[in-house]
Amino acid sequence: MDKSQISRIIVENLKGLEHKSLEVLFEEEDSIRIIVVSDEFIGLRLMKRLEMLSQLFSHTSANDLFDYHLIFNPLTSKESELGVSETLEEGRSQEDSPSNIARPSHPTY
Amino acid sequence: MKNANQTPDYEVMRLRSITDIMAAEALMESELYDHAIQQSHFALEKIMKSALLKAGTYPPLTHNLLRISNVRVGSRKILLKVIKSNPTMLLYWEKVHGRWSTDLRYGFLSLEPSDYDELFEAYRGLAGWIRVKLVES
Repeated sequence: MDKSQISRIIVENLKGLEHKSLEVLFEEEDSIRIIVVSDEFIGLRLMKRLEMLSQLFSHTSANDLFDYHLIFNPLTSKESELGVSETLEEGRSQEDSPSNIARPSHPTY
Repeated sequence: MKNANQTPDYEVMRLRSITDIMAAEALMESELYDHAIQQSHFALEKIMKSALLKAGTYPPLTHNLLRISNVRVGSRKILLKVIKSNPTMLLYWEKVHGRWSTDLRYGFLSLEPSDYDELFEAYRGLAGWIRVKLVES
């Protein structure tokens, strides 16, 4: 399967999600990075966003794209443009978020 | 030269993976989330390497789970196959990599404690699944 076919499959899978932009990048280790910008992610935690996308692609990932790793990067418009997080639930601001929100470390990749 | 009574390498890795998960659980209980996730990563890495060793293939010297999962035994990616054989495990796998990838590229997206809970569950679930399907079977 060539890259254009894979891209078509990815676009098809995203029909269930209203999105403003989509970028598909073919990377090392048979990985396909899928950068989706959608305001349906506003107020959703990162894990919920990933779950939403993973479910949209679940059949494809286990079949047509079996040999590939799908790597999702779900962002809102504001996050994409300004780099400002909108992961917190509605009604909460960054200032009144719990103090135990931690920044993840990533020494292993 | 190895002693015939020596514990096989895959078994050593399996045991280390289990202790890593136990350590991660203790760290989660102490709300040391970053450390818990790091320990969980090591647990998953070790059980993946254990599975390859048991299948007679030496794993690559890397912490990169994608690279480890791409190792072929014969013509098959046995780790990827077992992960993708179960929808929940596939979801866990994509959560683990989605989180790492998104964080590396867009560091401003913080994780909340409940994100860490789900991420930890993903690591623990994957490690347990691979252990049962490929190492202890």
